[in-house]
Amino acid sequence: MSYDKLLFALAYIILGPLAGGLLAGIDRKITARLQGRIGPPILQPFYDLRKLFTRGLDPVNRVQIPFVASHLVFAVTTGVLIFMGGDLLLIIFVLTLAGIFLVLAAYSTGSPYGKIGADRELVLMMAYEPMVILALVGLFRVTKSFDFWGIAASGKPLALLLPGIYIGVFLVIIMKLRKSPYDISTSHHAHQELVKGLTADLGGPALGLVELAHWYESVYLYGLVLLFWTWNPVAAIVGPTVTYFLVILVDNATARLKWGMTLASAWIVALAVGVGNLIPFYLGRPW
Amino acid sequence: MNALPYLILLPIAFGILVYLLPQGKFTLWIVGAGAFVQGGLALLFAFTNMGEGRRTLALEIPFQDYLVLALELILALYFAYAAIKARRLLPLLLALAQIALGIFGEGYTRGARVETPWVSDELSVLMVLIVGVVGGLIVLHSLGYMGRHHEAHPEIKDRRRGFWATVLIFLGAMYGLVFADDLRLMLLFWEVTTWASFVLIGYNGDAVSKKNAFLALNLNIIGGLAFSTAVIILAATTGSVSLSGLGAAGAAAVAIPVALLAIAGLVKSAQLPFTPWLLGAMVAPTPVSALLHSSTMVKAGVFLLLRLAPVLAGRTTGNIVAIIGILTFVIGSFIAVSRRSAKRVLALSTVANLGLIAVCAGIGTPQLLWAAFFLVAFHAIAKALLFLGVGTASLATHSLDIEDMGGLVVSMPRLAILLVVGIAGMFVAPFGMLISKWTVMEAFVAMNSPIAPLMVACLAWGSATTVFFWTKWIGVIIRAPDPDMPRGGLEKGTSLGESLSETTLACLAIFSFGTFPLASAFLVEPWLHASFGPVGFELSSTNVFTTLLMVAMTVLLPAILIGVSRLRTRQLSGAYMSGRTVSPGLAFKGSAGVEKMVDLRAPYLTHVFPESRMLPIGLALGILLLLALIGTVLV
Repeated sequence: MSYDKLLFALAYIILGPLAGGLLAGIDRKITARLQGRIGPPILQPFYDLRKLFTRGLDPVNRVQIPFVASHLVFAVTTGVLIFMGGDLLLIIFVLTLAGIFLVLAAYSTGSPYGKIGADRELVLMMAYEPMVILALVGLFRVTKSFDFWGIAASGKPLALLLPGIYIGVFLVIIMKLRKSPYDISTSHHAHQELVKGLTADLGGPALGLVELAHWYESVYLYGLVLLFWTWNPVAAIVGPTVTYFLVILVDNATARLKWGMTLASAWIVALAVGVGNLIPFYLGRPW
Repeated sequence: MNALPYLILLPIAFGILVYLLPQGKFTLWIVGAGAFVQGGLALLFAFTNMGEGRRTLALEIPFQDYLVLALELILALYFAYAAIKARRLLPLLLALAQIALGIFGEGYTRGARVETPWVSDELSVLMVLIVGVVGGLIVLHSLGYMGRHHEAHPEIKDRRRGFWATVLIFLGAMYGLVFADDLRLMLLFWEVTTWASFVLIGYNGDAVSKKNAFLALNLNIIGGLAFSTAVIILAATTGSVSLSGLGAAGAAAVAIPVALLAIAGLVKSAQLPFTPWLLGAMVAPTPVSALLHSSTMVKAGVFLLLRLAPVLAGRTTGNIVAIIGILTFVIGSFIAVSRRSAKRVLALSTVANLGLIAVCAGIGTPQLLWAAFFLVAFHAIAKALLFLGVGTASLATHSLDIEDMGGLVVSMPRLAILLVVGIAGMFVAPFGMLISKWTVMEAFVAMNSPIAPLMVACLAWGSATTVFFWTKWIGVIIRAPDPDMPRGGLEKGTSLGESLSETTLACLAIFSFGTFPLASAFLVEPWLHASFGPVGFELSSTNVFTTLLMVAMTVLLPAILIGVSRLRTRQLSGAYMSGRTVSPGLAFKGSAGVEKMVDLRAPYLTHVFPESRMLPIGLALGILLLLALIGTVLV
């Protein structure tokens, strides 16, 4: 393991929240403009987070906060392992583990609202996981590498070779970031919310930890999006940026789906374009 | 010292002793002593044979041919007798077919050659450890459990002597099975396990138990018939009935017997379309389920498949076995989502994981065999723990419904932790099963074969649903409980044997997760090197590091944090009830001011994953694949 990878991972730990918070801030600004509002300052997410941490801790039971903290730690670990060049196939299990801890935090409270949110988060996890695996398989079949830097250095136009997989990944990003129409477990849009769902029983610093984890997650997720566009510098800037705007557009243009539709649409897309995109890479070398 | 005869005969001797003496206080002591002695012997054998590699064991059986034939006929006659007594035609016909085949085949198999009738290698050592330690712990658990089982169900006739005798003979037969390289001997032990599971599944004696016992018997006799046909064909065509010598005659020459043996393995490991027998077997008392699912019966099935791996790899038969396995994996995982019965979920998960092992055996690359080895080991420990834990919970809550485990974390805190360890062991990163699953995935990804996309997709979807049904189960266990329940309120009745065995299994689980690189270095890699030469498979050191780091984090982090939060938290607030909370428990004000308790249910998505439709589809596909398996070797 070389030192620059270690440095990069360290930078992720320190600068990750900064980048994630900015992504969230720009997101809110664009969303506001799409809705004809002026919107909050770009730095508003940071002010919100600071405010959350000034509040008192008000747990429902003695395991809730530890589970939320574990969620954050494993979300950060996922990113660290990714940027340290670990085996991506192994890392997605860590990503799942992070999700599991958040779900357990909600289940432990016994609140019906938290419980429904947790159920739906589990449905979401079940909905996106096949596609995540298929995406990594696709990346491997093209680049023969399972680690972030190996894939990034391949120089192949991955987004063009794996268009189906890229569409699937796009949906995964929407689900992981809990954006509409897949924001079934908890949402940033108040109008389609079931009393905050997954995070109904979290407040103050505990909610702050979830928000922080969310920022870390958005950084490594867009890092993975970037992987598909590394063959040329222009693509590396344009591709992820356009994807980021599209996610916001979809978020604002759609309403929350029911869980059944969420599962069905995610699985059908993964099966059709994900597996469909893989098959030629197993039958021969199509490029 | 040659431990082999002791390993086989001691448990059987203890079993016979238990059966012959009248039932009394000392029955428990004899059974316990039998469990301990065979477990100790197994450990001794494992430690003395750890670095020995493949070696032959000496054991001359006087009048072997006559003895084996006589014992097989006795078993078949017993099956026929049981069928007549229960007035069932199909098992009678099958048993008669077994007798006919046994007598007919005798002329062919009598003179067959076997250079090494008994062989031990690393896979046998692993199996010995599983049978001895996990099996022994299950027997220990049953000492207290069976007494409580009869107290809870006074209508069931107390036949515990017969129960323990069968269990001990079962263990003895398993030892024979894992060492026998002479297929005639293996077949005998194979039939003994069929007999033992038939007796144990029917133990409760009610109509459903009998029906399911006969279902298991029917399917397993069919597997046995395939096995003995394979032995006869081998003896008649190649003149050798050695399991390890199968490849010597050339793959084409043994295609039919290999396919038949694979079918026998698929039956015993409850792969589609033979799955129903294992799902039905859950009517038996919990220790039986634990035994069948973790250390004995089904493991014998995958053991045979793994032994066949060298002659399956790269052939159509192997590919079909792999497709059957992955199909079983995905269908089992899907159905498990919608099941509320704890034992059913466990059974489906067993079937799914055995499917994965069948995949590994069918494709048979070093990497997949590495994964299979650990799947066998970790699954045995975690599944035994889960079955025993569910049994203990069901005696306290009088229910097998997962929903009735709500709040177990308060009512039975010790058991709740053990169950969570077991569940985590089944699917949470980075514990054992996941390492193996990841290895399987990595192998599929790199594989250049037209069936690879199917394998990848099935594995991806099966894994996703696995996460769902296990996590929601943990969610039920840690769910905020009935506020009136005192801490540990339901734990009083648990017997010493039960808690001892469950706790040991949980420690064993965590220990084995932490030390798997050692097992890989000392057991698995030598085993692979012996069969594949230097191009074996080793886990890269970065991945070992990542995994161990994760093991440490996953075990320590929540524990430390929960400890800290216990010290720091002074007051707790009520769960959010939309402003209608009444008590700090889960009561709220409903409409018209009526006070109600919150009633939560985990999601089962029954209409998305209906067993009533998915199982028939699985069975139909399984039958088609089976026909394809037979068709391809005959043509």
